[in-house]
Amino acid sequence: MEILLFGIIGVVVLFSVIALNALILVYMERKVSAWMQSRLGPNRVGPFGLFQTTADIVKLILKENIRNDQSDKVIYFLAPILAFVAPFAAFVTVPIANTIGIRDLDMGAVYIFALGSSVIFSIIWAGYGSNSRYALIGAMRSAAQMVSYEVPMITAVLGVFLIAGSLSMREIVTMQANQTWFIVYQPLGFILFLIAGTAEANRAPFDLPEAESELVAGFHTEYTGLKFAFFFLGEYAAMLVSCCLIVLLFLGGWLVPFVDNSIIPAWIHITVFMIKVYLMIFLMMWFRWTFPRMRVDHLMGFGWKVLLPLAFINLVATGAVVLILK
Amino acid sequence: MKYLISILSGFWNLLVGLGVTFKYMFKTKTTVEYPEDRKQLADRYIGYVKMMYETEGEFSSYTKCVACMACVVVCPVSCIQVTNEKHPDPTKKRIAKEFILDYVKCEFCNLCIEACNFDAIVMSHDYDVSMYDRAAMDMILVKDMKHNNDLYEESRRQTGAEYKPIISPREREIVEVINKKEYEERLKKAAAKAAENTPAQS
Repeated sequence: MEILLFGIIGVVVLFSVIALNALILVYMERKVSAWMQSRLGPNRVGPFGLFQTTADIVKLILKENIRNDQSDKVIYFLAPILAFVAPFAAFVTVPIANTIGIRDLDMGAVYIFALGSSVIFSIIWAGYGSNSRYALIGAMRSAAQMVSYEVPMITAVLGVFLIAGSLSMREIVTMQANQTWFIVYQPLGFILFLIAGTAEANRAPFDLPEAESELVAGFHTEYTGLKFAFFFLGEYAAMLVSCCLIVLLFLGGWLVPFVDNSIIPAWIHITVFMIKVYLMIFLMMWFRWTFPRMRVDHLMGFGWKVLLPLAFINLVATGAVVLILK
Repeated sequence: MKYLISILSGFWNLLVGLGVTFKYMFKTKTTVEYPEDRKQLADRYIGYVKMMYETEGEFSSYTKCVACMACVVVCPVSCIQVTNEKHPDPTKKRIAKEFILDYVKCEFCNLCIEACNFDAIVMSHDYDVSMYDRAAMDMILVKDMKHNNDLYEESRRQTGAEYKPIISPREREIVEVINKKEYEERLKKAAAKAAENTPAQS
C-alpha cells in the first residue's frame, strides 16, 4: 500500500515537472531560434510571450482528432503513448540531488539506455500504423539512425562506467565528487556522447525521421490534436533525459565545482543541476539552429566511419589506463 | 592521419558555425512589430495617391486640382475619372468636382503625379489599405470640390497620413540643374541656327 501511494505521488510529481519543463523548453526553443535568426520570437501572449506555449497546448487539446481511415487502429493509438512513456519512465532513475530522486537502481544506466532505445518502437509504430508514405519513410530512417547511433553512444559511455566502476547514477556522481568531473578524464567520450545523444533525441542536425522540408512531418505526419501534443511532449522529454544523462555522467550532476559538497544544502544542488541541464539544452538548441540537416547516407557514414572508431579508441585507451592504475 | 585531420577540420568548421550563430544572438533584431511600429520608408516611396488642398487664401480647403485631365490622359490603365465645374475663383477656369481613382486598376506607376502641373496629387506613404468591399476600392479623393473635414479625414485615412516630397531636395536640385543646362543648350542651338540662317537668307 505504501509503495503504491509512493508510486502514485511520484508519477504525478514527475509528470507535472516534465510537462512544465516541456512548456518552458518549447518557449526557450522558439526564443533561441528567433534570436539566432535576428528575430524577436513570441512576445504577444502574456509578458514576453511566456504564455504562448500554454496557448498552443490549449489549441492542440481542443483540436479534433483525425484518424486516417486505413490506419492500423491499435498501433496508431499506442505510438504516441509510448513516445511519451519511455522518456517519462527513464526519469525514475535520474537523481536531481544527493538524496532526491525517485528510485536509484543499481543498473540505472542500463535501464535508462534501454528505455531511450525503446522510443524507436513508438516511431516505427507511428510510421507503420498511420499508413502513409511520409510517415513510413521517416520511421525507416529512424530505425537506421537508431542502429548506427546507439552503438557509438553506448561505447562512448562505457569509459565512464569503467572509471566509476558502477552503473548506478548516484554512485557515478559520488565518484565524481571524490575525484573530478568525468569530462576531464573523458573529453572525447563527452563529445561522442553529446553527438550521439543529439541523434538519440531525434534533434537537428539528426532529425531525419521528422525532416520537415523533405517528409512533411515525418513519422507524425498523420497525427493531430492531443496525439500530436504527446509526440511533442515526448520529444522534449527525450531531450531532457539526454541532457540529464550528459550532466550526470560527465558534468558532475548536482555537484558545485571547487567547493566541499557535503555541507551544501539540497536546494542549491537542485538549482545547480537544473542550471547544468539547461545549459546542455541550450547547447542542443544551438546545434539545431546552426547546422543543416545531414543527408541520410552521410548520417550513416558519420555514425559508422567516424563516431564508432573514435568511440572504440576511447574505450580501449580508457580500459588500458584503468588497468595500469589498478 | 588524413582521416584524423579531416575529422578535426570538420569539428573546427562546426565550431566556426556555432560562433556565427552565437554572435547573431546579441545583434539588433531586424523585426519590425508592424501595427505599432512601422518601417522607415524612403522619401520617394510610392504609396496610395493623395489629393492636395489649398491651405491659405480665400479658397483654402478647395482642391488644388483644376481638372486639366493631364492625369486622365496619361494614365495607362484609365483608372482616373474627373468631372469638373466652374471654379469659384474668378482667376481660374475650372475645378474638379469629383476625382475618383479606381485602385483595383491602379498600378502605382506614378505617371499621373509626374503629369500633374499643379502638385494637386501626390504619392502618400500609406500602403496598408485593406477593405472588405471591392466597391470601396473606387476611392473618391474629391467630392464637391471643397473638402469637408469628414471626407478629408477619410481620404487621409485611406491615402496616407503625412505628405512627404517624392523627390528628395537633392534630387530636385539635380533635375533643375539638368533642365537649366538643357534649356541653355537649346537656346544656344537656336541662336546658332538663327545665326546660320540669317546670312543664307541675305
